[in-house]
Amino acid sequence: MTDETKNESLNLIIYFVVNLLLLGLQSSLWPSIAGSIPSPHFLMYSLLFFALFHDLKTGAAFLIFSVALYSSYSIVPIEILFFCLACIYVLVNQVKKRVFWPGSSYFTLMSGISVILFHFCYYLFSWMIEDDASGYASIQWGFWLLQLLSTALFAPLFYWIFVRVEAATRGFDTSDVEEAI
Amino acid sequence: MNRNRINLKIILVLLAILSLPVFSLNLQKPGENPWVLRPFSMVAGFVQEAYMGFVGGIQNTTRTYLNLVDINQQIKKLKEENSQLKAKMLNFDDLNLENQRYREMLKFQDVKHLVLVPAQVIGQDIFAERSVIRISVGSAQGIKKGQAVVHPNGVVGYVLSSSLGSSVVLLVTDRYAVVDARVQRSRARGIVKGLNPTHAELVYLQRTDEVEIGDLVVSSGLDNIFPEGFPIARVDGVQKESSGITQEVLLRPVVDTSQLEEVFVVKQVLAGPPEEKKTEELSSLDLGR
Repeated sequence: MTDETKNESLNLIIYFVVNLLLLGLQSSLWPSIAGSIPSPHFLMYSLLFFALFHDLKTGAAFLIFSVALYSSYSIVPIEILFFCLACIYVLVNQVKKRVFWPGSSYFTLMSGISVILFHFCYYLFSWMIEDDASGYASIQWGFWLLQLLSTALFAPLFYWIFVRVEAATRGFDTSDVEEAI
Repeated sequence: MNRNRINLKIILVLLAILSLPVFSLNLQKPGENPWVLRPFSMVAGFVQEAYMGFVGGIQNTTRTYLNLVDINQQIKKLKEENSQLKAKMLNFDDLNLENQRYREMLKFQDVKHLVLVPAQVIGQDIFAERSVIRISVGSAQGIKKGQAVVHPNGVVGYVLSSSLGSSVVLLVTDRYAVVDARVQRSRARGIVKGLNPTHAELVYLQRTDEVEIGDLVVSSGLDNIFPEGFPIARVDGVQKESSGITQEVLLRPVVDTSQLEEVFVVKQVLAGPPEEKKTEELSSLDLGR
């Protein structure tokens, strides 16, 4: 196994473990500490990072892992999770081709947009797939807005961490992060 | 060198493609955990339990520290006021309340006709739209799918799936949850169905059935999941359309699921005591009142 292959494998493993812990944090630790304050969408950070800075093949593999991880912490049907995350991945990837600037501000903006996009996709695919679909009563505008804010709030921190992981495993250029921080 | 790099990419793409049919295995089977995801679910349980242990540790340490600081302050005060015992009692108010809560739970656990397994809430669904919690007991403790989960205040939900050390519980407020129920005052029968994280609704209640705001809705026991007479919710609103044979009844669950820390899984309902005895036992606990 070459160094490059080793580093790529290590990169995926790190993201997998980090996300496993982050989702545990979101479902157990956050409610104990913050009560009913909406937690950030922790998995969105790494999905977004893969959509922006990784190639399609690695991104697809990560997407599958993300769905498996999500399904272990939620009873939401797995096909809905897959379609929602795939939609976000593709849209972010397409937006990047048209509008992109390096730095944490772009990442923060996209993380906020992705959270709202996720909720809309969830509502849409639930209506299309589920027998007893998510109804209008389940739309919580206030909750969505607060989750957008909390996700955007933590985004620069995770951008900083992920760039460090990328720099260590894939030789990612960290100069723009240094400037942003 | 280059060959290895290509191989990894091919493996990843193949993995992605091969995973798709595996994911579709649980299509339209909510609650069924496909075998491929069981290890993930088990790991999730362990991670959540570890986090709860961590939180418990922090809470205990903080409480101990705060108590120590508080005791020191009180000793100074007591020396001045010469009323050490009284101040100590104030200091232990929190512990007293906690003890009182545990006493209530022990009293509840003594209800003769139910075999209960105590459990700690270790996590919740990552999507707030779904009302689901994970508890600290699983198949190792004899927990099975479909068993009722209750609290001294009333009905919580039922077990959706269980792994070795943890179980997933569907709360009564989830849109997939249904419980056969009666209005306690008028004995009118309907189905409690989850609506959103804070409310449920009573459906299939006939238009002529008597129901008022404030009425207590209890489990009928006919679904063979919940024991009869357990409080589920209070009526929060009633709406009768000008036509139709049913009425819309909005319910507010008696158990605030966002504040849950400990619950009981009803492992078995014993046929022993007569109906009056069961009601007597439950009413002595002031359930949901």
